[in-house]
Amino acid sequence: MNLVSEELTATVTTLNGKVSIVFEGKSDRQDPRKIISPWSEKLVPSLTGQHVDVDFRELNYLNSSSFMPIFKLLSDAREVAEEVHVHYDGSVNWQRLSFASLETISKAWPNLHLTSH
Amino acid sequence: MEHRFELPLMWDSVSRIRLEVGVLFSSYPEDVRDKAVMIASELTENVVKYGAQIDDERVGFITVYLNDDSFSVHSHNAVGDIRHVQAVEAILEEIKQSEDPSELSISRLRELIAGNVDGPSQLGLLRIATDGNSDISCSFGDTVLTIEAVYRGLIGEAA
Repeated sequence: MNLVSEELTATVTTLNGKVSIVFEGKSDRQDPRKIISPWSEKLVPSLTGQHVDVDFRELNYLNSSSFMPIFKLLSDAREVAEEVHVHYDGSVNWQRLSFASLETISKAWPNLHLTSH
Repeated sequence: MEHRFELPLMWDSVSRIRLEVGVLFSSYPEDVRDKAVMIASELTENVVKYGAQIDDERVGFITVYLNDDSFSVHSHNAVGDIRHVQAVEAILEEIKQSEDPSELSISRLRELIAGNVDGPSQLGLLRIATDGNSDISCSFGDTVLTIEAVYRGLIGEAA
């Protein structure tokens, strides 16, 4: 159940009982919710009880309008999944700064873990 | 030095300003360049989303002031709906009153995730204040809204 839009893709694969979601490209549309939310609403039920890796390292840019649907996906995923591991590139300024917010929010979410690479 | 960009009120203007400001800051440290691009990009998104026709043209403006020590980015656009101005003034007042704007940003994100926010997210202005390390203010006159983001850090020397 991949997300494929003009500039943003998210590839979903399942291997050895682990679901991997890899984001690539950029998300700078005027209303990214229209692209991301319908896809994530379909995806999240399939993550129930799963170990999920979400990898943002190949993402080039997220505008602020994308934060809500992306963080909502992570919030919804951790509600149904066994564990959610989020990977980002801490050497990239915007990723480090953006995921710092998620780091704080996720303190209340014990089964969501962030790793800076 | 002043660099002024006239931008049609269309979404392609966001990509264009990212390129233009990236080139303008190409000889500066990456951290500074990334912040300048992000600030200009978020302000341009606001211009395109909420801007109205000005002097018979559907355009807005981004002006970058770059000096030896620092920089600022200003957006100018006509506003068709006064509620947008009020929303900008309200979030900027919240940022000004906040001891830690990043806490405000996180709180806003929580509300958005919970679906408790109607209207604009205002995350762009919060991002400028936090990730962009900038002081933001606004003024409104003759139907034109001006938002100024002044970078608080030193930009270092151009290579």
